[in-house]
Amino acid sequence: MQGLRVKDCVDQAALVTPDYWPILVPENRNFTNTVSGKTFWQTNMSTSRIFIVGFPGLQVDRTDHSIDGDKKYAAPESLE
Amino acid sequence: MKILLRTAVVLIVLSMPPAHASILLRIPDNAEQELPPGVPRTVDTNGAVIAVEDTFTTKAYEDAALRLVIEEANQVAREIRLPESLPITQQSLIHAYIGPFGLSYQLGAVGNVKTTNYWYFVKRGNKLSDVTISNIDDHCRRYAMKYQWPVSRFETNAPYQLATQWLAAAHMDVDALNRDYDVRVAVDGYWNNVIMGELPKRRFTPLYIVSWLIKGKPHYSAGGGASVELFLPTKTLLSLSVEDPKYILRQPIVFTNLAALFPGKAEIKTNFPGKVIVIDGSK
Repeated sequence: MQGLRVKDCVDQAALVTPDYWPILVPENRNFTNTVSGKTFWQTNMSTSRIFIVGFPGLQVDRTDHSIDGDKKYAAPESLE
Repeated sequence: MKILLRTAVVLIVLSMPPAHASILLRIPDNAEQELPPGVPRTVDTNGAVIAVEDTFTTKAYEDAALRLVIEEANQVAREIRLPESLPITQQSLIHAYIGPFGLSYQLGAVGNVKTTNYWYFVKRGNKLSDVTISNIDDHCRRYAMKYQWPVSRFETNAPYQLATQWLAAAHMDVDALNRDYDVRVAVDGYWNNVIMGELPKRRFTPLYIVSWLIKGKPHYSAGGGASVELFLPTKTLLSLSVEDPKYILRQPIVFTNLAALFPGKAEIKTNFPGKVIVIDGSK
């Protein structure tokens, strides 16, 4: 709980960086990463969208309501 | 192989979703000199560190980090003159979080501590960057129920003055923020049931947010450099946050004894970029 917003956590978890396996959001259908010194070219991965049900600006200490309108991970209304 | 690698590089760029630069994991430039042999890592063929095992930590590190975060909390509480019981000690905390060294090292975020009064974060460039009143929602809910002022009482000067006084007292670079961002003063949209930047038609709760927004594109959803939330009638600081460490003039938390915190010799993996293993998920 470093204090980041939920949206930022998802953004970060989806990034391709050495020794991290990114969550398989649609942007990561194909990617290259290095794990334990080996380089992998991952292709045709099964991916899924991620939805945030609630506030994307939720933090451990407060909610950043300034990004309430951020739709990047907006859940379908039927999920709420 | 050249074509394969070039394609792979393009794929990396295309696959990276946009993210705020400040949250990206980043290896400090002096990692090779700074990290003692006891820290497990991955290096490239030139010996440059490209990754540190994110879950790696030790009890000695956690103890040292907690002590330093508490020191910073005491320091900023004195500087801002927060209504806090000083000194803050480990015994007076109701919550503490110290991230594992591997992750903290790459994030520049050490951890946070909370008292019954305030919550203190060292999460930008290893510097104290955020202070939030404890249980902020309870405070805001109470204010929203008790205080409904006519919109004619809305003002921008007093909230701005308070916000900048607190920021300056906490050694944040107000002049640079004012130079690099557009300042906006607004009521808290959530507790006033309006979109950020708008004002209710008749009455409002004097919960103000002073924001330093991206210059030329001052939209709240786009983020910014800093923000301060306050309750004007009692001049209560609710939250103070500076996103970019370059606007934080405080000294970063520095560990001068990393070798003692991470004794021994850990595994160092070498990344060989020439060996690309192709994994086709469709097969």
